Amino acid sequence: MNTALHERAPLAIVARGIAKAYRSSQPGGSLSVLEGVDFTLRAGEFVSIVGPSGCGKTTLLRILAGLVAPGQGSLEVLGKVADGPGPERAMVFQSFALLPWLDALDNVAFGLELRNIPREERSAIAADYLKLVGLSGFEHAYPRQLSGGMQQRIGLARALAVDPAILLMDEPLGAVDALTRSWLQLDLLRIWDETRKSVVFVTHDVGEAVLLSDRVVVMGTRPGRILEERVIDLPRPRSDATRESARFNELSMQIWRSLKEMVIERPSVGAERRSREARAGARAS
Amino acid sequence: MSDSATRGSARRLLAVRAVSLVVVLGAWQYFGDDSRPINFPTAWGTLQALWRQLADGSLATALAKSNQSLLLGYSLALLVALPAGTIAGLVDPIRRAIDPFLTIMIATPLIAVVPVVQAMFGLSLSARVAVVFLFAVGFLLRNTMVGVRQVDATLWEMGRSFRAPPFTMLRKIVFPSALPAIMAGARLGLGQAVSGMVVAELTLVGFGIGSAIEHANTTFRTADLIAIVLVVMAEGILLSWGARLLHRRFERWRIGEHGFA
Repeated sequence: MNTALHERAPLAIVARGIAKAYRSSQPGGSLSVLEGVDFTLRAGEFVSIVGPSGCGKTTLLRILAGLVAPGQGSLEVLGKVADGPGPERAMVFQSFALLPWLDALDNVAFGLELRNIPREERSAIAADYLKLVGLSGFEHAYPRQLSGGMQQRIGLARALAVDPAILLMDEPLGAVDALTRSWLQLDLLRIWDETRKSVVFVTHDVGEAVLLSDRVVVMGTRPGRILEERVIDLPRPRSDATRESARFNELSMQIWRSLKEMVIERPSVGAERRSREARAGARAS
Repeated sequence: MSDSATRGSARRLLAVRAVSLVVVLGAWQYFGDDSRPINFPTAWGTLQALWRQLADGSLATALAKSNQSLLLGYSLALLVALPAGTIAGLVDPIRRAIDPFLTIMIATPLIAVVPVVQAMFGLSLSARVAVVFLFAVGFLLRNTMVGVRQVDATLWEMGRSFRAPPFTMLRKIVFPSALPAIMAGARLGLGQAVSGMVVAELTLVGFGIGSAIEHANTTFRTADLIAIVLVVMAEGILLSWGARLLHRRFERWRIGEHGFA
């Protein structure tokens, strides 16, 4: 049902053949972070990227954001070639990236300030978005006076305030405690329902990905690549009760199984030791 | 309860300081000797000498003359260190290039360089300005550089994701982030600048304070001499106190990183 709708929706992001490598410590060596990644996001779609640490999911998101240039491949955003950040995309950071010397209202208004929106106008817009994320009454609180969950609400409001078509979220709930996290997931559902942004959401929490997404992209390591994509056909609007449905658990288990195989098959410590032993063997012979 | 406890300990501190001041002044008064000007004077005798020099305006004139070099030298140090430190904080190779010189500058007793300054500038005002500049610039430069370099990488990314132009990025993200470190450097630099001013006066040429000290010294008036030194000390304390107030104003939001106090 969701799927049919999204298949007809215009493309928000098309990334083809994305590869990225960093120079490694060995002379002439390089570490491949991403290889042959194809990724699409349709307008109004909520897509999560899950994968173990080191699978390059954050790097992929940063490439989509235009913060990192891909080594190879092409990136199109809203039908245009993108070679840097754009006004149609806004990012939510894992560590919030709030300015400690600005209060909540000014932090939310920061993106608008950079677009030279006059003070009164941007404060009014910022106040509306603070309300949307449930922080009315905290306009003049400073980040350090607020909990992690509240700080991330500010980070989300700041991204939404510039009214981007696409929201890019890098493990936005990774730095808050488990209870707050469950609560914020429900808030994200509500906020997404009200705003209907196209979202790319990076997480390592399978349940979170299933609860929030229309589609989940599973990534693997060495090199970082897309292993599979799964359409999440849970009906919307979703709620806390969605977590108890049989389909939710079935989808979560399926995704967990493919992740688990990869984590067990390729334990990173073992792999490193094996390659070290192989190199030592090659030197000896 | 904790409020009254802090008030109580503040009162105790005040009492301790009052007692120690009374003890020092009492001992000074007791051991001092006003019978001949060349002797170490009593506290009262020194106070009289201070009053005399304040009343006839000689001390004010001397201070005003000396502070020319402080004002010019310190301003020049700010003018050079803020942009240079910012650039060095942003551009890694430049930072690596100037880092050893900075270390040397901060580690050497700069009084050793004064003869070199004299060779270059003679005994002019510019020589004194140069000494003040040299004393102050090291801390200013280092703290600006470190402050700019320590700006949180995700704040840079946040600015870039909103497509902030480079100058806006500096103004709205980098400088506010670096401000506590820069202010701490400005405070340290100011203390050094006062030292530089006095060193220049005493070792190059006595223009204001230096000539007043020289005069008191050659005419064997110890009370006058001590009075002048007390005034210089008072200036140093007042300036550092003012700088601290300014520093605090700028760091209301700060939690305690950038440990350069």
